[in-house]
Formats: sequence, C-alpha cells, structure tokens
Amino acid sequence: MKSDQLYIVVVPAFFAVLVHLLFGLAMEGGWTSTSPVMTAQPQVIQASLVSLTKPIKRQAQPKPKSEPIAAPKPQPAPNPEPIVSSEPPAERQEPSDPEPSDPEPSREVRLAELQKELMAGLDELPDAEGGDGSEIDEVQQVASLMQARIAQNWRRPPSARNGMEALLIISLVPTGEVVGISISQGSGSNAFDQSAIAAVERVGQFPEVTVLPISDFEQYFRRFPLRFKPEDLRY
Amino acid sequence: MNEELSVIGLILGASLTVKLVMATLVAASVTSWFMIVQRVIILQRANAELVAFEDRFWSGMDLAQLYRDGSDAIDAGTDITGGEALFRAGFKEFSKLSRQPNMDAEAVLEGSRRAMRVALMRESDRLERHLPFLASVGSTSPYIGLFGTVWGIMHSFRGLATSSQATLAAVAPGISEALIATAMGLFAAIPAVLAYNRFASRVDALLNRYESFVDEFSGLLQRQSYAQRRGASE
Repeated sequence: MKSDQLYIVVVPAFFAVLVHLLFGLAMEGGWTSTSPVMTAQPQVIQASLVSLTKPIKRQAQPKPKSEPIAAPKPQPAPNPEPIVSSEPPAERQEPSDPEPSDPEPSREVRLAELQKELMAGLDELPDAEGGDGSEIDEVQQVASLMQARIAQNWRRPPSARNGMEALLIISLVPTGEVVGISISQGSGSNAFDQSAIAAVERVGQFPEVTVLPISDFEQYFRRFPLRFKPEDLRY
Repeated sequence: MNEELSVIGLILGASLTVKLVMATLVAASVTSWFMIVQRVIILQRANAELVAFEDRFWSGMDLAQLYRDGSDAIDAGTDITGGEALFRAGFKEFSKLSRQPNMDAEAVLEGSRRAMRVALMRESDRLERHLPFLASVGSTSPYIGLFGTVWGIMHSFRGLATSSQATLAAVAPGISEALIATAMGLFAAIPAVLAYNRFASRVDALLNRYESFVDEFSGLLQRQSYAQRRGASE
C-alpha cells in the first residue's frame, strides 16, 4: 500500500517533468534553427539594391584588362558605382563606440533613399541593356556587401552636409586587400574626404572579392570608383 | 545583430513581473500535468476495480463470503474503494440493522441505502479530487499569460519612446520575450481544459455505474429483507 501511494505520486511527477523538459528542448531547438533566417535577411535587401547598377557591365566591357591601371581617369561617372552612403545620426554622436545592433535597421532607411538616388542616376545613363544574369548578380552581390561594410565603418564628421559628395578611386589586389585609395573628386571639405578614406582603410580588406572569378575581379574590382554621399542626413 | 535569440536568453532577459508570470505558469503547468497523469491512473484503476468487482458480485457467490474476503483484504492493508466500498457499506448496515429486533424491512432498507449513499459521496469525492484545479488552470492561465505579454509589450514600447530611433530591433526582442508568456499560458491551459473535460465525463460515467450498482444491490437487499420478515412472521 505504501508502494502504491508512492507509485501514484512518482509516476505522474516523472511524466509532468518529462513533458516539460521535452517541450523546452523542442522550443529551444526550433528557435536556434530559425536564427539563420534572420541573418539572411539583409542579403535579400542588398540584392534588390544592386540590381539597379546593371549598366556596370556595359560600361566595363570595352575596357581591356590591363588598361584600368594604366589609364587612371576613364571618366569616373560611367564606371561601376557602388554608392556608399551611411546613415546613423546615432553613430555620429558616438563615433568611437557604435552600437552593434544599430546599423542593420538603419540600412533599410538608407536603402529606400539609395534606391531613389540610383533610379535617378539610371535615367541619365544612355541605353542601358540587360546583361546576362548570374555573373552580374554575383558581382552585384559582392559590390553590395562591400558597400554595406564600408557604410558601417564610415564615421562622418560633424561638418558633413547633404549635397556633399566625394569620389574615391580604390585599388584592390585579388586577395581583396586595399592597396590604394585616392580622391578623384573632393567634396570640398577635407574632413569629409578624410572620413571617406578612413572608412575604406578601416575595412582594409574585402575578402568578398575572392569568391569571384579572376576575370570578373579584374573587370570590376581592380580599380573602382566609390562615391560617398551623406544624402540621408536629417538636417 | 546576430545575437542568438534563445528562449532561455529571452526568459532571463525578461522583467521581474514577466518572470513571475512565467514562473507561475510553469508551476501551474507542471502541477496540472502531475494531476492529469495521476487522474488517468486513478480513473483507470477505478474502472478496472469496478469491472472486476461486478464480475465477482454477480458470479453468484455468497455475499457474506464476499464481505469477509473484503475484511481480510483490509486487514492485509489494502484500501477498499469503488464498487466494493459501496457494497461493504450497504451490507454492513443491512446486517447490523436486520440483526436488531423490531426492525421493519423498510427501515432496514432505508438504513442500508443511506449508508451506500454516503459511501457513494465519498467515492465521488475521491474521483473528482483535483478536477477543479485543472478547470481553473484551464480557464485562468491564458489570462495570466496575456497579462505577462501585455506587461512586456508595454515595457518594450516605453523603451521605444525614450530612444531616438524607432527601429524594429529596439522592440522586437521585448515583444518576442513577452509573447513567450502567452505561449506558456496556452501551453498550460490547453491540456488542462482537454483533461478536465475528459475526466469530468469519465467520472460521470463511473458515478452512474456506481449508482446503478447501488440500485441493483438495494433491490437484492429488499428481496432478501422481505423474505426474512415473511419467514419470521410465519
């Protein structure tokens, strides 16, 4: 009889704990598997951004491979133009210690503005034609990753104003290391130009480009212009 | 931005009120599961006991012998419950009363019926124990969970008001952690409601069978007592 009473207590207790442990484990497992989806989100956004830079290919093709180094000033505008601009008033307030969670949400705001900008830019370009898909997509994806990284590392000086624009020419080697940065078109504010250079230097290396075939690298990333615009400032 | 969103992390990061709500719900859920499994065991046993006892009862064996067997079992330390308890209560009262002189058959029958009714009440108490707890867990724990959620969301929106940038990332973790409370409330409530309904109907069925056994047994006693009286008067 004693053992019977024990049975009626122990078995239910065991089951109750077991059910909750299983449920807890299931929930825990389910949640960790969903987290990669969250991290994948920004890439989707970037892809949509870069699809607007299609004319890149048309412009870049006529150039022979070795030329870009030899001829440093092939009219910057028509070249591939990953436009980097970055957001956050919050970042600017504390340039030395940005919050890690900050850049992501702000990117969406930035994107909307970037897209508008690019749309406007596209209209000016003569007869844009569709390129063949996958290769361009890859290049564009790499370009957008690079843009995002530079944008995150850009600490704009307080003197930055809407309408300022700096065009940098950046040289890479195939490992992705930055070997040269020069100002092709200054903004007029030295601090602003220096902050753009510093942003690229802070990134230092773009391992993203190593996934590209070497011909694509030569074509698009050996030397490329990068435009810095603080268009999204709110004052 | 890639910080791991784990349930444990969210729970630990919740505010004190939400934590209290969650602790209450976990306790309610564990307790209700404990009771659910216990009820399952008890009701299954009661069912099996009743079937076995009715078999013995209607096998035509001597009822006094059946009573004596039960007494032996009690001496051996077994608990007598269910149909046998009803039988023992009725039979004991019947034999006590009918041994007394000047007792008419009606009074004897009435006494044994009353004894069986008391035993029946005791049985129904035993079977229905903890069912009200399941009912209240089932009906209140969604509200408790909802309270935790509303509280958590209130806090995350208040945090949003003080921050300069209205970003989703500023409120999302707070809302996510707050919603865990509702999930817990539902997790506690659903099994409790299901179990309560199931157990209530099973207990009803069992009590019906007890009652019909009581009726059948008192019919038997009635025949017996009138036969005795007639034998005594002739």
